[in-house]
Amino acid sequence: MKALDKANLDKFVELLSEEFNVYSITDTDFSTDFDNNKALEILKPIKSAKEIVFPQTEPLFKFDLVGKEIVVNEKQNSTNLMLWIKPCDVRGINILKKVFEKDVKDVYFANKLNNTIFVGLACNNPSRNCFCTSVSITPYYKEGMDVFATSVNGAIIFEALTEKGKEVLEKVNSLLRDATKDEVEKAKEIHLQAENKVRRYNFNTSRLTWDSDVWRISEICLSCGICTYLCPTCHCFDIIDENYVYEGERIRIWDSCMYSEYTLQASGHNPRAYRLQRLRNRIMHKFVWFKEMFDEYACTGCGRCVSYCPVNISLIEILGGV
Amino acid sequence: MGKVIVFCCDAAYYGLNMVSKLIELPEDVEVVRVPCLGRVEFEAVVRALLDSANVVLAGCHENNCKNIDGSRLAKMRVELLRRMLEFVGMDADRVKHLEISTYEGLKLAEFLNEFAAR
Amino acid sequence: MDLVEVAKKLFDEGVEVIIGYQGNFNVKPIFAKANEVDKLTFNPLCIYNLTNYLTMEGFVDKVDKIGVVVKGCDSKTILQLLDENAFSRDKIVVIGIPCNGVIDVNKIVEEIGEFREFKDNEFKIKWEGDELVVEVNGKSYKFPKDKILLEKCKVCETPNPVVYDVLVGNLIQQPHRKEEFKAVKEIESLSLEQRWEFWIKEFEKCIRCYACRNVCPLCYCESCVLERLEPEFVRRAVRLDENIAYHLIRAYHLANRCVGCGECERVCPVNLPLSLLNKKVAKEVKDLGFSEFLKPIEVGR
Repeated sequence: MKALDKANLDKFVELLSEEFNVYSITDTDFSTDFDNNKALEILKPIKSAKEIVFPQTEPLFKFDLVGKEIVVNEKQNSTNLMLWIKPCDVRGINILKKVFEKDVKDVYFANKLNNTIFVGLACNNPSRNCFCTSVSITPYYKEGMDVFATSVNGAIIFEALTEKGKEVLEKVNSLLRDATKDEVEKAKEIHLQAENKVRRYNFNTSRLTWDSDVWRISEICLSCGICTYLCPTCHCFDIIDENYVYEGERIRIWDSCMYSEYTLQASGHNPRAYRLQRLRNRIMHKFVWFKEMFDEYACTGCGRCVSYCPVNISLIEILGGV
Repeated sequence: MGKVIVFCCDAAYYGLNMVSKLIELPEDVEVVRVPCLGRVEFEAVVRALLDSANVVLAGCHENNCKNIDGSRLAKMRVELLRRMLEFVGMDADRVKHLEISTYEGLKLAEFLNEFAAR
Repeated sequence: MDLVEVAKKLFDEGVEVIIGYQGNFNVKPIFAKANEVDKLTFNPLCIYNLTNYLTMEGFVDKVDKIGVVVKGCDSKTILQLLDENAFSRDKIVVIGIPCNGVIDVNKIVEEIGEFREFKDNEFKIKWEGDELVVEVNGKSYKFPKDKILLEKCKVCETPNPVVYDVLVGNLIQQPHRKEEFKAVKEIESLSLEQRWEFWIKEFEKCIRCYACRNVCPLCYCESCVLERLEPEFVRRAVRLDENIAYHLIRAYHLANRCVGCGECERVCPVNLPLSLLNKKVAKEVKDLGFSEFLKPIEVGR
C-alpha cells in the first residue's frame, strides 16, 4: 500500500500526463481537461465512463467514390488513463466487456479497452439515488481496476491490482510514500461507512412479467434517450454509412431502445411501436434476459437513470424497492 | 471559397436559362430548380450551410408569385434564419434571398459571379 | 374546492382519465382513473407540462373525455394546440390551477443537504406569501421566493391559466409583466466570435438524446424530420456540426409556436440553454412582425 499526500496532487497528475492521456471526472463527462482538486470531490459525471471504450460516434472506415481503396481507421496506440473512476462505472465496463467479447470479439472495443488503464477511487459519499449494494456491488468494488485508491483525509492510498497498475505506480514512485497503519485502517472504515450510506433495496425481479401491472408507468414515459445514453451498461449500437459528396464513412453510433425508430422494419411494421413495449424491453433486458445469459444484472446501481429521468420514473420503484 | 447552391423558382430559372449564352456561371455554382421558392425546406438550407456551401434563394418578387404566398414565405424564412445564424455566431451573409423575375436573369447571373468570387 | 373534489365531480360527469400530478417529493405525472382520484396532488414541485401527453401516441383518440391539469404556462400550450387542430376542444376538460411558481427538486436537495430517510407522505411543501415552506423529518425550512424560484417563473407573464373549464384555487393578482428577453440580449451584445465560442461549447456537450424534442408539447409530428433518411437533413453522427443543425432546426420549427414553458431546458441532462434559442426566435418573429399577419403554422412548419 502506497500513499500520496494531496499537496502533491498537481505533480502527480503532471507526471502521469507525460506518459498517458489522462482522463478524469468533470461535471459532465470524463475529459482530459479537468480540475485536479475538483475531480476528487465530484461523485460522478453526468455521462458514464463507457464512452471512453465505446464512443458515441466511432468511425470504422472511410471510402470514396473514385478510388477502390478502403481506409480503415487506425488503431489507437497511445494509452488512456482513467483517473478516479468510480466502482459503478468500472462495473459498467466489465459488463460491456462480457457483451462485446461473447462469441465474437469486437476488435474496436478490445483495442480501446487494452489501451486503457483504470485508476479507481473508492466512493465515499454516495448520493440519494445510488443503489449499488442492491445489485451486488459495493462502493469499494475493485474488479476490473488496475489501481484502487481511497481518499483518506490529507492523503490518497493506492493499491496496485494488476501488472499495468504496478507499472503506473512505479512511474510516480518518487511522489509516493508507504501508507501508515492508521491510514490503512481508516480507509477500511471509510469503505464500510460508504457501504452503509447507500440505500439498500430488496429487488423483486419476479414481478417483472410480460403482462405485469408495473408497466403502466410507461404511460408517462417520454421515450427519450436519456436513460439509455447515460447508462453505463447500455450497449445497443447502429452501424450506418454517412455519405458526403465524393466520399463516405462507416460509423458506429449509440442507439436507444426507447426510440420508436429502433425496431422499425423496412416494411413499415414496428414490433415495438408503443412506449409500454419499449420500456418493458429495456427493464426486462437488464434484469431478466441478461441475468439468464450472464447470471448477473446489467445494472450497476449508479442511479443516473433515476436522477436524470425527465418525468421521475424510478427504476427502484419498478423493481419493487420502495 | 466554397460551393454555391442556388435554389431557383421556375421563373428565375427560366430567366437564368435565357442569359446562359450571354454570361457564364462559375464552376462552383450549382443551380437547383424548384417549382416555387416557398417549397424550399429550410432544413436543406441549414444542411448546405453546415456542409460548407453558401446558399442563394432566387425567386419571384413578393407580389408576383404565382402561388400567392411562396415568395413571401421564403423571404421570411431566410430573414429569420439569417438572424439565428448570427445569434449562434455564424456568418449570416452566407445565405441570400434575391427577388428575380423572368426578365432579370442577367442580374442574377451577375450576382452569382460576384457571390462566388467572394 | 380542492383538486380531489373537483376531480371526483369530473369523474361523475363522465371524464375517463385525468392527467395530473402525484406524490409529494417524488412528483410524477399520473394518468388517474376514477379509483385513483386520491393520488392527485398539486404542490410547487409540479414542474411538468402535462399537455405533452395529449398528443402522444394518439391518446386523445382512444378516450372519450380527458381531464388535464394545467398551470398558467401550460395552458398557453392548449390554446396553441387548438389553433393547430391537434384535437377537438370538447374532448378535453381543462383543470386550471393558478400557480405561484415552481421549483426544481434538485435545488431543494442542494439547499437542505442530502436527506435520505423519510416517507413521501411526510414531506410537505407549500408557498406562504413570499416564502417557500418545506417540512421534512419533523423539521421545517423556509426559503425566500426569489432565491429558489425557477428562472422561467421569475419572468412569468401568466400565473393564471388563460383557458380553463374548472378552476382550482383563487386567481392570483400580479402586476402585469412583460417579456424583456434579457438573457437573449446579453448574448447578442457579444461579438460574433464570442457568440460562436459560447455556442460551440454548449453544442459540443449535446448527446442527442432527443429529450428536448420529446418533452416539447408542440413537437408532435407523426414522422419527425430527424428520422427521415432520404433526404437526411441531420446525420446520425453526434458531432458539432450535426448538433448545430439539430438545434437550429428544432428551434426553427417552433418559430411563432413556442409558448415558453421551458420544458426543453429543464429536461436536458447536460444543461444546454435551449430556451435561449427559443426566446431568440420568438423575439425575432415579433420584431419582423410575422406574428401579426401570419398563422403560426406558416413560419415554423
